[in-house]
Amino acid sequence: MDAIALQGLTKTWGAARGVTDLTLTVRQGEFYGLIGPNGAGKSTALRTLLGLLRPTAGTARVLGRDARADPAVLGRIGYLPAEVRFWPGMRVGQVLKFSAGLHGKNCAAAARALCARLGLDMRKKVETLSLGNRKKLGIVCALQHTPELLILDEPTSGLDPLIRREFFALLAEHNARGATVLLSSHDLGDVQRCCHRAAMLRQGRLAAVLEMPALAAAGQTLEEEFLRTYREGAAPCC
Amino acid sequence: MLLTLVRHALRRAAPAWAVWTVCTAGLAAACVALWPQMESQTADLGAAFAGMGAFTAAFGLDRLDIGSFLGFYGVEAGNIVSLGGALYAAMAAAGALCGEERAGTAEWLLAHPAGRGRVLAAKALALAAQVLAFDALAFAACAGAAAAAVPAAPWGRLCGLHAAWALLHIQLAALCFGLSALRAAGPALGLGLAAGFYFLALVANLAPAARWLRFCTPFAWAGAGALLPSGPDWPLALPGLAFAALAAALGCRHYRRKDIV
Repeated sequence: MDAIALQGLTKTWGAARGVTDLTLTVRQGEFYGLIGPNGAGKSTALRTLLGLLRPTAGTARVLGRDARADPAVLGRIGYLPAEVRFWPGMRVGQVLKFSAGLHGKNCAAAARALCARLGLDMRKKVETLSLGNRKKLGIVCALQHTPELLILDEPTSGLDPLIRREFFALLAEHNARGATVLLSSHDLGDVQRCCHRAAMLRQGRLAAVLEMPALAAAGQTLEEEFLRTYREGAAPCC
Repeated sequence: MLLTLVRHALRRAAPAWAVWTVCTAGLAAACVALWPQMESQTADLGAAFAGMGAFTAAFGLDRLDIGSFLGFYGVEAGNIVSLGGALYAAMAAAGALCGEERAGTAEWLLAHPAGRGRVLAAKALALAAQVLAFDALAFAACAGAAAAAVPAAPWGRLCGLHAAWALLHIQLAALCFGLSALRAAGPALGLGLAAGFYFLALVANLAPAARWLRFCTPFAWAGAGALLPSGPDWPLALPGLAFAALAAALGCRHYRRKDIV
C-alpha cells in the first residue's frame, strides 16, 4: 500500500488555483521531497492530503484513508505546518502535553528527549519563542508520538545550521525505523541529500518526479534540474 | 480526547471568565444587599421610578413594584445579571469557532486526530459550561445577598428569574456560536449583537408602534418586567429560542464542511 496517493487532485477557490489534476504516490518507508517555487501548490497539496481542505476534484488518500472522512488516521501522522502558531500563555511543555493528549498518548519521555536534542526549553512561554524555536516546538509535536508518516511543510525555515543537521538526523532515524517522510522545502540541497525521490510542482501541476540516485549518478544537482524544468515550463516572455 | 479539548478551551477562557463573573456577580450582589437601606425609602423610590416618563416603560418599571423586594431585585440584579451575562455569553460564543483561524492555530489543531466534529463539540461544551457556571455563581452571590437582606426571600420566584436569565444567555450563546463559524465573526460581533438586542427591547417597550420588535430580541421575554408579573411568555420566547438553535445547527454544519483559511 502507498503511504500517500493523490489521484487527479484539483483544488481551486473560484478563479484562484491551488493544484490542478495532481497525481502522485509516495511509497511506504520512502523519504519524499516536494519542491516548487512559491505559489506552486505545495502547501495546498499537503493541506488537502490532511483533510484541512476539501478537494474540488480527485482524491487524496493518506495511509489508505481519506483524512477528511476518517480523521482517526491523523493519529498515525505527524504534521508540521509551514507557519506553525500556538496559543500565547501556554508553556512549551503544556503544548507538547496537549498535542500528546490529542493523540491519546503519554509522550513525556519522548518529548523531553526531543527537546534536549533540539535545544528547546520546555518551561518557556510560547509567546517568547523565536521563529526558530517555535519551529522546533512544531517539530517535537510532530515527532513525539512516533508517527508512521511525517508530513513537514518547510520545516527548516528559521533553524540554524546545527539544529538543521540534528533535525535531519532525527528524520533519518524515523525513516530508518520505517516511517515515511514527505517534506516540502525550498532548500534543494537538503532535498537532494535526504530524499529518495522528489516531485516538482509548477503552477499547481506536477512538472516532474525526480529520482535522487539517478540524478547523482548523472552528475547533476537538483538545483540545476529545478532551474531547467522551471525555465522550460515558464511562459514565454514578450 | 474530547476532555483534553474541553479542558484546553476552558483554560483559555478562564481569566476573562473569572474577571467578568466576579465583577458582574459582585455588583449584582452588592445592589441586592442595599435593600435594607432602600426599603425605608420605597415610597420615594417608587415615585422616582414612576416619574421617569417614557423610560419607566422602556425599562419595564411600569410592570414592577419597586417598593417590594422582588421588584427591587428584578430591576437591580436583573439588569446587571441578564445584561452582564448576555454580553459575556455573546462575546465568548462569537469568537469560539473563528478564533482558531484568526489566531493561526486551526491548521495545527485540526491536523490532530480529534477532527472537526470533536473540536466543535468541545467548544460547545466549554461554552455551555462557562455560561452555566456564570449563572450559577451569579445566583449564588445574589442569593447570599438576598438571604442577608430579607428574612424570608421568595426563593421560588428568584430561582425562576435566574433560570430565565440562564436560558437567555444560552440562547444568545447558541446564536453567536453559530455565527462564529463565519470568517467575519469575532467577539466584537457578539458584543454588538447583545447590546443591539438590549436596545431593541428598550425601543419595543418605548414605542407602541415598535411592539413587534419584542419578537426580535430575547430581552423582551427575559426582562424582569416581563417575567415577574406572569412568568415567561413562551409564545414570545420560543421563536427566538428556535431561531438560535437553528443558527447553531447551521453554523456547525458550515464549520464541518469549510476549509481552513
